[in-house]
Amino acid sequence: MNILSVIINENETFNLSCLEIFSFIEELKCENTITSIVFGGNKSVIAKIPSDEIVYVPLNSTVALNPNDVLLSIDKFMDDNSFDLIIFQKDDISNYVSPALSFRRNIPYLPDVKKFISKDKKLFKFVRPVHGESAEGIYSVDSTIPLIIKIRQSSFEPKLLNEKKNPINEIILNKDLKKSFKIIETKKVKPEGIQLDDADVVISGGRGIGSKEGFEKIKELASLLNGAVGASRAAVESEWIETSQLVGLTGKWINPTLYFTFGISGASQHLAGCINSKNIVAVNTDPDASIFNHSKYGIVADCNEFITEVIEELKNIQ
Amino acid sequence: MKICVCIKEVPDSDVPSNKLRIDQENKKIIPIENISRIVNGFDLNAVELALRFSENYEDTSISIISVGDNLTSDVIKKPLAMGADEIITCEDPIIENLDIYGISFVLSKIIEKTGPYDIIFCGRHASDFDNASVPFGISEILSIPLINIVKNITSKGKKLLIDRVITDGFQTIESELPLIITTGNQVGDPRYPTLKGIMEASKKEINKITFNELGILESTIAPKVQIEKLYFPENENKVEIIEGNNNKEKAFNLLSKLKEEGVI
Repeated sequence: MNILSVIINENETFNLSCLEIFSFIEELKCENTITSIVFGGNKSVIAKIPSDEIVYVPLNSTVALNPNDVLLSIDKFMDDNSFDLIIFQKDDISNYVSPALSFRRNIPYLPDVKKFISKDKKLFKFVRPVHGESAEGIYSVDSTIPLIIKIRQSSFEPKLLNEKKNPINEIILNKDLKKSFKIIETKKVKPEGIQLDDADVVISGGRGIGSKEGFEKIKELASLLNGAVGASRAAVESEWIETSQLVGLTGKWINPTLYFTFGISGASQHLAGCINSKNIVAVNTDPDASIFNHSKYGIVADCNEFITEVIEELKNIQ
Repeated sequence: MKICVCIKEVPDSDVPSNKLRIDQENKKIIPIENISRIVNGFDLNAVELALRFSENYEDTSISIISVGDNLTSDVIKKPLAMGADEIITCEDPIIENLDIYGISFVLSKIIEKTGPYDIIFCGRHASDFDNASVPFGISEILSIPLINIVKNITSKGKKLLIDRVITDGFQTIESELPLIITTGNQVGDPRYPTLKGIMEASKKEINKITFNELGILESTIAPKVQIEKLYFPENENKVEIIEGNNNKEKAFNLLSKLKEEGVI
């Protein structure tokens, strides 16, 4: 199979989670030729991407990347090269480009693929979650025509970079002058402390926390455990904490060693973002809260009272 | 200013999964009895943003468009009760089995037939199948630019300034019309319908377009993607409830375990 993997590095740092694509390709267990088209990023790292061919599209780091330019560039690249499978992963640009490319080129599209099942002469089969992760579906598509998929974040282990460097072909970014818009300003909101994506420990608060003041305790515990602060949609909508800390289907998808939740009931929308955490510990007053079904340890208690005790105990130990 | 908002009727997404069942024959997830159906949450955010935006213009109309089969009129009329002007539907058993390509095609045809619209609003994704694709389909089929996950829109002469939400912040975008806008919960809570709104909405007729009127050949919308099977994943997890006489003891017991296992 001829595979195209699409990698976007909007910032100059290399987006390591893109390496999940290559573990997914390994699971397909078939003879492949992999081409990676890489937008932006550090060339010395890009040369080590585990692919047969690497096509690099340099980006101007002072100008915000317009998804329509990426879309047009991939579309043009596909005019000259034929692929059986085009793989994206989850990021702002790919979320925009992957469905649009599917319609532009009339190629079927499957988002959030979490598992490959089988491929024969007729059908390609995959699993993807539906209904906010509360159910799953086995999807099939015609295997004799090309397919675009976007893999579900954190469903595959990132593969290691190659030791040796591959040659890189460079092409330029096509500017879409027809069907586009102009980005005039980008404001990044950098939260204080450890970033959610990188954190080994995440302390998350939900509706049960009840107030902005309650989140001060979450922040205190996060700082004691050298972790980051997370939140459910209820907490973000109540403006107790910034949107950047949202964990869930429409927020961050994380897989820390410890995910410690206070007052989160475990709606499927939230679970989508944290279900791959290695240890989930949940505190909730409701013994039937669905978060307990996914937790290693559960504590039935008032979350505000319990967090105070945890902080006290931690201070005693340390 | 002529605006439309595409909405989808879905099972209530806040329902826990033990209140859902799977209709294997029709490949649908259905809530067990007495669980309400709702307008997809992000679509109501789209209605809210459309209403807010239209308040800046004297001569605006907001049309709601919804397609499916056996739509619940009380549910899909909610945007009218919030303040939208009319609702256009297309109901047919064929539509029920379409994939994202078919649905995008049907919506695009309705938009062409009843438009042109200056802005087409859509929710960022529907909470039943989470495809987040149909607005992009309309954008490609009708060749109208799309800006996704928009929080706010303001006018700047003949152009618009649009606040778009990105993972770690915001972008300001300048664009001309026509435009497709998708929205998420960053728009803020949709307004509650007023009693007067509900009364007026109940009196309004639904403008029904039949599938045949759209002149779509069934072969052009044959599904490209099939659902073979839906199921609830088995949960083998067994939670250990940390016991203790009081919270202090529970906290101590929990931290001891986490320390022992090297988690903290």
